[in-house]
Amino acid sequence: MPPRTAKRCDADLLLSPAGPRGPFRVTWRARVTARPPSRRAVLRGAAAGAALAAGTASGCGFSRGSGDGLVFGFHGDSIAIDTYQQVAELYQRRNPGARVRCTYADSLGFFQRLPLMFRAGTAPDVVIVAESWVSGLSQLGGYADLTRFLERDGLGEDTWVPGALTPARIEGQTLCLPCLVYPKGIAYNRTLLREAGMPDPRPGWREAQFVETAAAVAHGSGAGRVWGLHNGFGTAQPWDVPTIHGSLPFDPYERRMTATDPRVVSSLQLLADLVHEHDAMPGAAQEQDTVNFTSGRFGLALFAGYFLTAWTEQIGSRFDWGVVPFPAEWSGTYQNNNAAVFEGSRRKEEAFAFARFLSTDPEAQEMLAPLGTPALRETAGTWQRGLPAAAAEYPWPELIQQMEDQLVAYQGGVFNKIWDVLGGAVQAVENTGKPVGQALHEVQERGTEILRA
Amino acid sequence: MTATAPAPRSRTTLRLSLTRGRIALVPLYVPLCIAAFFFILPFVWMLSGAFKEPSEIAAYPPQFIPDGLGTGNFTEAAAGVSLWRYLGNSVLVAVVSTVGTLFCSTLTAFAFAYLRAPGRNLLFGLVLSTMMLPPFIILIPSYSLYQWLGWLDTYLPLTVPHFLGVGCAFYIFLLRQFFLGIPRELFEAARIDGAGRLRQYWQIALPLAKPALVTVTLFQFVASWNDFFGPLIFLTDSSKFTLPVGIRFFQGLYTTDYGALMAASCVSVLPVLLLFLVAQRFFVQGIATTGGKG
Amino acid sequence: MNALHTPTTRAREAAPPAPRRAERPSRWQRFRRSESAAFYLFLVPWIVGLVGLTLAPMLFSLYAGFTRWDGVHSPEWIGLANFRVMFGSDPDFWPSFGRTFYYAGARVTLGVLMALALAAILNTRLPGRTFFRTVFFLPAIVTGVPMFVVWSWMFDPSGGILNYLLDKVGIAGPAWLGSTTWSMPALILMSLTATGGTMIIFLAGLQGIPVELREAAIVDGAGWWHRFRAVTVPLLSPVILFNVVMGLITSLQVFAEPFVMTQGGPERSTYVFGMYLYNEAFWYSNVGYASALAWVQFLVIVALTVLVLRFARRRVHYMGS
Repeated sequence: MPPRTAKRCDADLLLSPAGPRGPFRVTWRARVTARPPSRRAVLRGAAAGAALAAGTASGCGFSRGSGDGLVFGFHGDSIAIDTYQQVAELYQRRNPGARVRCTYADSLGFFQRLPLMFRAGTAPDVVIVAESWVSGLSQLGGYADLTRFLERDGLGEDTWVPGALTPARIEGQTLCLPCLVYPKGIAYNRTLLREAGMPDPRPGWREAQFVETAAAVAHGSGAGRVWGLHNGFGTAQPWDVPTIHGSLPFDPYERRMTATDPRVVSSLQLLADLVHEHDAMPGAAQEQDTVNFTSGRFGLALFAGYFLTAWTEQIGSRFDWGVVPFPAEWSGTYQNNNAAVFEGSRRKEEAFAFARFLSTDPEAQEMLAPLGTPALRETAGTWQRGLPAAAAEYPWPELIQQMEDQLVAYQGGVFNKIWDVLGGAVQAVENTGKPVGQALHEVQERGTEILRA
Repeated sequence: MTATAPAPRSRTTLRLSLTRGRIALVPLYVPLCIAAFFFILPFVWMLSGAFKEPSEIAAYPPQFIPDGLGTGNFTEAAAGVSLWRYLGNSVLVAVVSTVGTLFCSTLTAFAFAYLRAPGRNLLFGLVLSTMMLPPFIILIPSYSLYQWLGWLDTYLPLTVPHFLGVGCAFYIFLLRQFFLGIPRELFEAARIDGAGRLRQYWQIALPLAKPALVTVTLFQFVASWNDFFGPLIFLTDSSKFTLPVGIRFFQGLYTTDYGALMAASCVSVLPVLLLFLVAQRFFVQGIATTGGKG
Repeated sequence: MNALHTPTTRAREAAPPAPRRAERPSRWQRFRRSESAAFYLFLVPWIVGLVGLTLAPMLFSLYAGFTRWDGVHSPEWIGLANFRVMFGSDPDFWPSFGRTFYYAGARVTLGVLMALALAAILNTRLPGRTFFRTVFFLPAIVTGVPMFVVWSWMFDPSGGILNYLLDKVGIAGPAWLGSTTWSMPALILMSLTATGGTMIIFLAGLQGIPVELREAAIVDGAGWWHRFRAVTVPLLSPVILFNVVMGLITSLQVFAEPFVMTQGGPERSTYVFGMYLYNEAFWYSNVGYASALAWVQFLVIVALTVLVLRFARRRVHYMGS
């Protein structure tokens, strides 16, 4: 968030007229009424000041000593905060000697604070990081390599659901343990599909049916129009575009561009066609997140595990909806949440023990379930049964299985810059009908320049 | 005062001319009301959002009046985060930083307005230049500095700098302009009476600058009240968080609880609104009485 | 007393009694010395803050401008390389300057004009003016993320209240934040609602204009527009100048609105200098380069401020002179 946003507003007010005739000119009459503050008023003011200063000073509590136990840092909305705190308490009940202190902020804020803490050595011993933060901050050297701990404790790929370790693996190291995964799929508005005479999509459906459904549902014009597909691609998450058909626009390890890869081209072409040829989807930048699938004006939308509660509440009983895995040709972007250990931690052994608890203890995993799908294979299998009515019917096994094909969008440093360039290209293609080939060619060239610099 | 005697006559003339022009004023209401509508629209929307059910928020066509005045969002907001604690912390930080701002910027502005010394213009240029560099670019060295001072996770980085004039350039400038408007003869007279500079500052400049002090108070309070980045970066213990940090907890990584967010925002706006309504009296009146009546 | 007396001339007049200098040089010198001492004594808190808290980080960021630095590891001195990149090959540099000037130009011009107009209207005996004053001032005191959320709701092209209302009167609304043409105007529109502060300053300035001057104009039979042009605007010119200068300083640093509302998009149409700087520093881990950008921006703002003040020196009407 903007640093000191508020300053902008005072900026306007604080301007005072330069000139000779300032608005605040004091007159002689004012002198008559103005009295110097009495001595008692001064004393009262001083006492109040002292009290306030004392109040401020009492704010100095938490300073980091070595004997204070583990510090656990996490982020999210109020529900996530509560949940992580409960898991930390469970850990302390299980391990009477252990002490875990929590520090947290909202997600964006926590992400902004993390590099500062890495630098200053004030980062928490164990920290919850989204998959994009793993690669995104890995260059800063804040995460400890956990490979030897994993080998020692016999933890591997099959401990968790498919693909869960992929985001953690960066340049031969394992930088975190998976806690939650977010299976992705397509949500469909059954009510709208019925009206358009389209059948419900089933697992294993093809991209052609996807396009046909989207085109059939779209109708109307102006502000009340109904779209076939909500555009969840490109605006905020440019990585969702090339991963549709399973490619990244660059190779992070070889550090070269792959933006003209046929899979990237066909992914963007699919979206361009949905916008321009089928009139089924608004352009990338034309739709804000504020009006999404839940408004009931979109036939299809990208669905991710973390939407479950929010969407169920927002939709209520206004329309009937379901979830289906991606069309067979699709891959998609992998998203999850992990526990990492701070490289600068003085107690890595204990930190790993706690991270392992978060990631592999069945009870801890069950506690985390309101926030997403448990990453632990055995818990993920039983998790579905506890879901509220309709959600229990979604094809979870297929959704989870499909995660194996998904790609982790590598981020951080120059790669973020390339993603931004790609985002701009996607917007140009969808908004102004720029040819896909030309747009991606430009991305390829600009990206190569960025990587070379 | 030369202007006081003819004043009644002039008022009458003015009123007459205004009555004549009153019909002409009527068309002014149209653009004024349209502008007012857009100025107040976000607040109306925020207020209505605070009472809406999740399903109403996403509804189309947009619904101005919620179906019911359910307070569910408010209870949810209060249950979701320690709203009252954050409110208290915010008040503490805002009040202390405002006191600090008043202390330092009045002293500094007084010196710039009345006292001549070598290097004064250069220093005033420095005051202005501190607001020309974006604050986040000095964030990393500042963080290290506060860490070195042992101030992290305390309210000290959010309050002490204001006592030392950090981020006070606007206020210093404002107060300087205001002080310049106070007749110098007053200070001369006080000096002849044997008053030192501190007494001139305390007994003449400050009391006569009341409207400006109210302005500074209001604006520093608002700035501190809305400051998100400072508390976010410098505080780690959640029990010390302020409202802007707390309100963010209704926004997750991927989803937002709009109802609770709007409800909490309404609660957070109230104290500032109250302060404005109190200050406004001073403010508008203070300005009015210092104006042309002289 | 002369109500039109200006503080600056007054200050000049109140300068130390020069003729006496020849008679009692030592005393005058002592006085002077004591005045300097007092000046610096009054400035002690501010100087402590400057030296202790502000200057070091500022100078460090200046140093960082000459380094390659990710914000975590040690900075590496690279001389002028950052500046060579920004002036030579970086395709974002000049366009983001252009966008910033677009924003700042419109924001300052429209903001000052609107605030002036509102203040002029609300300075009359219009019934309900207190209500209007409060309404127009309100957005200036309530800022932050919730307001941004509300605005992006209102700007939503298909479900937002603005286009819904436009639709009602038969206009197909633009895509606002989603359109390369309309995104910047949308941000400007939004920020214009925060001009209540400027308006209050103008209001105060208007109230400072002596009644007898306007009255004289009325007696002369001048119409309201002529009165406004010939009396109000010249008398208000110092206030106008300062609103312009301060508006310029703040709007050239605009960051929050595009950051929250558009992230600089679509297609970089709102990628202003503040966004560019922030992205380089915190998103691309290019803190050294961002520091260099910040100091270039600093110099531009200083130069513009000086330029505007110079330009205005001959045009602003000071009543005392």
